[in-house]
Amino acid sequence: MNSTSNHNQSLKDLVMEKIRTDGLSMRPRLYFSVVVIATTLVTFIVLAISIFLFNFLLFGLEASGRSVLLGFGQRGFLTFLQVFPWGLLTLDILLVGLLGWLVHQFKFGYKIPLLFVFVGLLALIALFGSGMKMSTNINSILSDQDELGILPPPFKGVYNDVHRLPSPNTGFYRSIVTNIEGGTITVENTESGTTTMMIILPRNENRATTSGLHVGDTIFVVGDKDRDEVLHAFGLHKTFPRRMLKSRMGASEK
Amino acid sequence: MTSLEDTDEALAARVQAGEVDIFGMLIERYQKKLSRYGTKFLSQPEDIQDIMQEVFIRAYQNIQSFDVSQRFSPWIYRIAHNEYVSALRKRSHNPFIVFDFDALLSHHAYDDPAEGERDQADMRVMIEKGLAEISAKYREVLILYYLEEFGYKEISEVLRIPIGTVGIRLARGKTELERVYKKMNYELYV
Repeated sequence: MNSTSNHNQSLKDLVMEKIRTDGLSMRPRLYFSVVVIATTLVTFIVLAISIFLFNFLLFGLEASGRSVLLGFGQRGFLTFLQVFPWGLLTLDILLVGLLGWLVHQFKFGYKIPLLFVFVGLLALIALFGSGMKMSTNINSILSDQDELGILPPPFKGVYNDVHRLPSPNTGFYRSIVTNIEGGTITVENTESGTTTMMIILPRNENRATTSGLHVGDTIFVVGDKDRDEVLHAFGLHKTFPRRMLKSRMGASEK
Repeated sequence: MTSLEDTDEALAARVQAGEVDIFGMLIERYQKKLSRYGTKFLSQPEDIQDIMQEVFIRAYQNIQSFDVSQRFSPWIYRIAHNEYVSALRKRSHNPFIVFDFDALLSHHAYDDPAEGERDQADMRVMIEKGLAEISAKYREVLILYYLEEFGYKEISEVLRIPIGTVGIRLARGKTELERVYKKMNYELYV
């Protein structure tokens, strides 16, 4: 019993000696308040970035025409998956993971199962990101600034890049109609100077039809090129030239 | 003046107010409990005193973060848990964070009404004999529940996991411990 109380005494004495003589001190209450405030601030910043990134992802899908692929049936959907900006989505998901970890640092955070936190944050970001894209004109403003070359690095060029189409290997083009003859259209590829291309449309296919199409219209078209470089389209969607598209998207965002 | 009736929370409040010597009383009250917790959790008690010193030093340094309207016990056990987990990680030389799948989903947490005092006594015997053989995350909840007699809510606060996860770990820990104990008994009689 004596050895136990002596043993107890020594640890207590050791610690108390460090407190009294080694300059060991209590961290002030302010320190903990600052930590909480800093963590809260970082959480909101990361949340804001995640929301903006999601908005940017949606904007990019529309500006580059990728979103029209979803209206072209199963093949269009598979092509959509192929050209989807997975890197950007991965980055956003990683940010959500970071957000989940930050939320976990708060007293209420650990009480909620991780999956619920993760799914809840994803839903929140999707909701506010969509809202930002549909209800604000931030993308138009930043797009204009990028065109003028006044966006600072690392954002310089990002909005110009977003209008770029997927690689021609995907069979996806943005073109201007120069001639319509039955089920065949001749177009000028806007992305590659004045290259002309012939497009053959399938019969009785609502997703690829000349109905409502005129010479001078800008279209998104997707299909397979044969050996003669003729595109056999499975999807066609009338759109607007990039400048008009931007101003229309800006109007819709307002 | 202090009395044995002063609660831990009252003592902590006095330390926060500047009565540094009162901290010694808190050390006296918790040293044995935290030592037992650490010894069982780490299984190798030779460095337990160094770790215990770190626990109390950290507790003193961070005492101003303690909310006196809450219970002191889960707060200091949380500090001890962090130190023991660090010690365990250093020993295993594994710097990687293992993802906690138990905390991923919601689990219904309940005390097993069928577990009477006899079952609890049996569990304590099994814990004494077979604890070192089971994984650390189950070991810890078993120690806190059966030896330290914490409730689910307190264990949730110490380990910072949902209450449902506490229940699931207890159930899995018991199953693993029973398996280990049966194997040990079997080996004894071979």
